[in-house]
Amino acid sequence: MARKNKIRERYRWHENVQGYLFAAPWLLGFALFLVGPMLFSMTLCVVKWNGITPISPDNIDFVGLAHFKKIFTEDNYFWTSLYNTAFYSLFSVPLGICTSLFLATLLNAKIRGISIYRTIFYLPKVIAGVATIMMWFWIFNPEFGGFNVVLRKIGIVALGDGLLEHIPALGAFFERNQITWPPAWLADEFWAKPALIIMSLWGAGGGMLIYLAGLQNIPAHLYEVAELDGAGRIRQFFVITVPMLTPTIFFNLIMSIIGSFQVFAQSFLMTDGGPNNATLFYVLYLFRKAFQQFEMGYASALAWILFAIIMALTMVVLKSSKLWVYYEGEKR
Amino acid sequence: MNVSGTKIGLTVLVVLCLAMSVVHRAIVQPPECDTIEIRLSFWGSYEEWSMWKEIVDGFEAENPDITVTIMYTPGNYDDKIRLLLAADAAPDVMLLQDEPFPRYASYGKLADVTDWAYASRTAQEWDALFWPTAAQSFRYKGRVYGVPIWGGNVLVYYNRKMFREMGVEPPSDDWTFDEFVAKGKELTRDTDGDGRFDTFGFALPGWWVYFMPWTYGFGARYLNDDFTDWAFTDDKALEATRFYQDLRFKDRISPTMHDLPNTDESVMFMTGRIGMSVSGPWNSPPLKTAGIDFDVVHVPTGPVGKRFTRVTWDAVCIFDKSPHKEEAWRFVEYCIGYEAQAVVGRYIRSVPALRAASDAFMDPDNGWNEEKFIEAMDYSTLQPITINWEKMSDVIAAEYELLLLNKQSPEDTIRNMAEGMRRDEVFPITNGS
Repeated sequence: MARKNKIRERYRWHENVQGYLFAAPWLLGFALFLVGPMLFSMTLCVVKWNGITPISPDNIDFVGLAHFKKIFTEDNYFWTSLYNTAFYSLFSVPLGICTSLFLATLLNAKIRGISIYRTIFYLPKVIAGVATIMMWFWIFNPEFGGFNVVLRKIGIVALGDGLLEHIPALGAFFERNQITWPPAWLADEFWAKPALIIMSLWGAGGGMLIYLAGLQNIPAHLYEVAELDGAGRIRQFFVITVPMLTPTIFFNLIMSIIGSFQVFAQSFLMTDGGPNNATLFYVLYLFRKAFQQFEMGYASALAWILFAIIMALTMVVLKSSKLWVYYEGEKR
Repeated sequence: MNVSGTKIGLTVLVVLCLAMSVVHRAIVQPPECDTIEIRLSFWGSYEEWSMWKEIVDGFEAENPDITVTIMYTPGNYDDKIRLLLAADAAPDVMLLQDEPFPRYASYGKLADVTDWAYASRTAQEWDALFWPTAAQSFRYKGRVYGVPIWGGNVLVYYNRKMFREMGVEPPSDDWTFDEFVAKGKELTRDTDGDGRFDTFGFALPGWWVYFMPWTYGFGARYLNDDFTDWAFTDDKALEATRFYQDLRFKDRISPTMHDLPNTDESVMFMTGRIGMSVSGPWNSPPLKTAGIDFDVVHVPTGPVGKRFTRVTWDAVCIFDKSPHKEEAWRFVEYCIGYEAQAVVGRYIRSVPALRAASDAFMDPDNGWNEEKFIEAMDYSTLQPITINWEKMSDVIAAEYELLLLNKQSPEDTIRNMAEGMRRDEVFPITNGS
């Protein structure tokens, strides 16, 4: 018996070693390229360093928590960028989830050529980011861009003019705040954020694919029973589809929140944070501090604040999941 | 194939891949040869690439022992160079603007080329080779860290066809700020009678440095004489700032966002909806390519009774950790020789830094007066560049943006600029500029 245990133990040990050996490349990469830089940036939070000269006592100054104090008490750009990012996240995340879910529901239909439609809707996700951004840049041109042309064609611009005339308060609000109509989109600080939120829907195909997988895992018999009970399509969607998809929605929600707080390329390439800092997102501000103003310590402090914010939001969503996420077979 | 066969096959494949990667260098790398390779980095358009190619070809023909490998970065060049410098992996020779130059020199990333520069001539003779502002631009603490290759000042461009069609006399070289505004008003018109202006006099420069000719014309200065502290705080600064805002909101010669929303003002200049703009020689090749009938005129004279303009230079600098500094210097020296500078001049996108090559910049048959950029060298002033240029520029740009959106008064603008310089620790500079 003792010998058998010994053999089993040795076998387990061998198995563990093999397991760790197989995971070693990833573990090594994780330690070297993620944990290492994270620890490094944590130490940078308390020093001043330009990021270019070698780290030596001559090139760095210890400042303690001065960066954090300045960020919270003196740095208006920090608050502006945080507000812009939160605004973007607040609208783009729910909008993205609803759009993806809507598309997935449509593309779950059993019709001929459905895989072609699915490919078409997923295609934007695989197109290079910069090319996409250049396309949207044109779409948002107020004079000849596709968006305003469509708005004019379907009469929304004219309707807007009518609204501005008939609702003097709205007209006065637009005039007082120098808001353009038809929207000047990226050139107008009122419309710039909404423009980027609309643009974020371009990537809805990624979420759609995950929802589609979730939808196909819902047992068909649930719908059959509901149908027998006289539930219509809409009722079925809300009492079967949505609850059964909550684990997928939960996953997408967390990933979307993280992604939305890291928004960067759009404002970097399209607006450079303008007009009047309306699209100065947090990561763009961090980038400016680190790589354009050479304040690596300050930028590291900003990065850790962002990390804390994302971590807190993720924790809130995780905690709240007990209230709204339903796992099949789970006892409540 | 059974399981063990699959395993053997996979193992052989992995071993082959590893072996291939090991011998890859030996296969693809040419054998050791006598030439030394130096790397050259620059930014710009395809035209600039062509210009560099001509220079590199000329150099290689004269120096068969050196090969120049081009690292062409069309966009975000500064970001790339910054990261390469941080990683000590920068190319041997880099094209750098005067704006980030002092910072890189202060970080010890650029090679001190003073001894090479003065090897066969005195400091005075070296300076006399270039335009005075060019020679000054690339010194740090009295030493030479970069060799100017080209640059340019800014003048007023005007759309000759638009002036002609609107029956407005083109501006003359001896005009004043008042005449400049008056000319702009003549061009600002509601052509279709819908109550909104359709054409405008002047494309307000989006980047603050292009407004310097007017700022200086009012006698205002951004920095003190030794470039160690902020000085844009007096009545002259206020007057210049008010003038800037008035062009758009009082004189109405420059369009607001509501007049021409999100439309590139250079496109409006090309299409005859804006009559005048301010830019350097680098603006001329696209206008020529697009077939625009344009010309340039000297900057108007300001209330101080003199005219000023802004000049900016680019230099070729050697990376301090380059293993081939000698060869890199030979290339740099070739770049400021007449042959290479004549190539620069022929493209007419920049003024050659070498004074002797000015003739190559001027082409009497090209239909516009590019020689005015050479004439304007007499009243060109360097930008107030310090080691904190980027931070200073960000503060100024943010405050001017609010001013030009009519969201803050000129008084608040200059007060907020001064506060921003203190808040962001841009000034005072105590460790030398």
